[in-house]
Parts: sequence; C-alpha cells; structure tokens
Amino acid sequence: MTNTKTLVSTAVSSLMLLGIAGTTVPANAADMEKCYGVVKAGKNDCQTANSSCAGTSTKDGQKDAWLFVPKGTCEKLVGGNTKAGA
Amino acid sequence: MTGLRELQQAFGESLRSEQAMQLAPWICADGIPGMRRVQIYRNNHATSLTEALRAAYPVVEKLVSEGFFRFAAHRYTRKFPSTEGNLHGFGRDFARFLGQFPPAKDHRYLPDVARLEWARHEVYHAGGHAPMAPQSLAAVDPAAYESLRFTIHPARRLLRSPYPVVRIWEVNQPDWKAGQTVDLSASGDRVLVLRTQGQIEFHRLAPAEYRFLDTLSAGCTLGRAAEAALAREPDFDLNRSLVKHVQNHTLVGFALA
Repeated sequence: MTNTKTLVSTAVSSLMLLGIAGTTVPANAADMEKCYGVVKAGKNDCQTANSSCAGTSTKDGQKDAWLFVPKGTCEKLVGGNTKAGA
Repeated sequence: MTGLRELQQAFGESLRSEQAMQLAPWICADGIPGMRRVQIYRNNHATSLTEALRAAYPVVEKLVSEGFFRFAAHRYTRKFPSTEGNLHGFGRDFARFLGQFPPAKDHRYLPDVARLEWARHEVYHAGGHAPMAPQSLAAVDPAAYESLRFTIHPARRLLRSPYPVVRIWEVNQPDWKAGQTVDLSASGDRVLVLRTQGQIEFHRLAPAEYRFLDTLSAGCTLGRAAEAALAREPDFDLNRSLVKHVQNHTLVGFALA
C-alpha cells in the first residue's frame, strides 16, 4: 500500500531528525534524574498529576512538573527538589 | 508422613484449610494446643495475603468497602493460592476472580478497575530500559522501514475497557477534590499505563493510536501497525504517534523482521 509506505517513511525520517537535533532522549537516561519544581509554565516535558500532557503546565514552578536534568544539578536549580511537592 | 516434603505439604494444607489435621501429631503442645499454634500461622498467612491484595487494589477496596473486600480476598486466596515466593506476584488473577464472583455481579466495571490497578502494580515493579537512540535508525535501509518491529518498555501496559475506568480510579483517590460523579454510560477508556521516574501515569489514547501501539506490542511490523490504525481512523497521524511514543520511552528499541 503506497500510502502507508509513504507515511511510514515520513514518520521514521521524523524520528531521525529528532535524534540529530538532540531534542529527544538523553543518551543515557540512567544518568539523569527527575527534578521537580524548576519547570517554567508550558515547558514541562511530560504530564503532571493534574495536567494531561506536554506543554500544559499552567503555573510557574508547579511542584509535580519536571524536566530531565543530569544527576547532581537538580539541587543547584532555584526551586528544585528531587521529591514532588504536596 | 515420611519425609520433609510430606511434612511441608501438610503444613501448607493446614494453612489453607481448617479441616486439615494431618499436621496435628507432629506438633508439640507444650502449654498451647497444637492446632491453636497452627491457627496463628493460618491467620498470619491470610492476613499477609489480604494486605498484599489491599495494597494492589485500593480503589477496588474503596469501591466495595473494606468488609466486602476482605470477604472477597478470603475467597480469592482459597481459589487462587499464592504460587510464588514473591508476594508482588500475588493477586494477578483478582480481576478474573471478580468477574466470576456472584456477589460482585452488579458491579460490572469492577473487574476492569482491578485490571487497571494490576497494570499499575505491574508497571510500578517492572524493570527499566534505556531509551531508543533514534540516530541508529540511519543504518536501516529506507525500503525496510515498514518491516521494523519495536520493543516496548517493560514498564508499559495497554488496557481497554468499555467503562470510564480512569475516571473511576481518579475520583477514588484520597486527594481527589473535584466532582465525585462518574457517568458509567460515558465512553470507555483506552489507556497506556506508564512509569516515568518512579511515577505511574495513565495516558488516555484515541482508538487509532491505541490500535497502533497494541499492534506494535503484539510484535507486528510498523507497516502492519500503521495499516491497522489507518483502518480504524483514516486521518490517523502516524508521524505524531510514532514520535510521541519514542519520546515518552514507550518504544525503546527496534529490530528488522
């Protein structure tokens, strides 16, 4: 099915573009830790307990929103905490 | 009774049944009658299994009340005895049990809520996996893209129910403050249960997106999964779904058929 073939080709190519741009996964996620409370509104990279998915965090420094940051830098960030706030 | 094996079997039997008396001659009374000593073990056995079920199924317990839950747990423990040393594996058949448990028959959604809680439980305890390195796809011949098969992260479960099980789960959380009403006639849920850095999340999926992931997780090729999703929804956004589920580490590896 030509249509499917084209769509598949486009989708896999998109994946590789993400990889090259480095916007997706870190090379070694085991070296990363979750860091709470340092996320600016709209910049959280995954969902929180009360918002549905990426880009929907509405409050600055929302305690349960998080970004990946390398281990060790979390505590250096103002407002950061490795445990989720209440 | 001749050997250790027989002795252990008799002990196991006496834990599960008050009628099992084979062990009696082997117990020194010494102040407390032998079968009363066994009763202490029996109670501990039942309590620890019930507590394991309560830990895995808090929403089911809340839905049916504590008394009913204990009753159901007692019956379940008899019908599906623990088969492994790891207590985290105990309770995997609870949804099936509830579906056949006459006193629960008026709560048709209950087995699906149990399935959701078990998915959560399994995802919580599942192993980890490194994310996919999309750059490595560059080594694949573009003509073979349709033949790609993806590896699903071990801490992911897909679940489908004709009932709004996620909503049911949410309103039964201790910290839930919004409305308590659940419209059972509301459309059902298709859910991806996933763990990100120790937190369990439910992601509701559109029908075509669910079918896409479900087909991939069955071991089918990307081409087959794309066709299945497009058959469900001709406007299915394959590009978006594939990128999304690599980024959320659901698809963590690939191989050629």
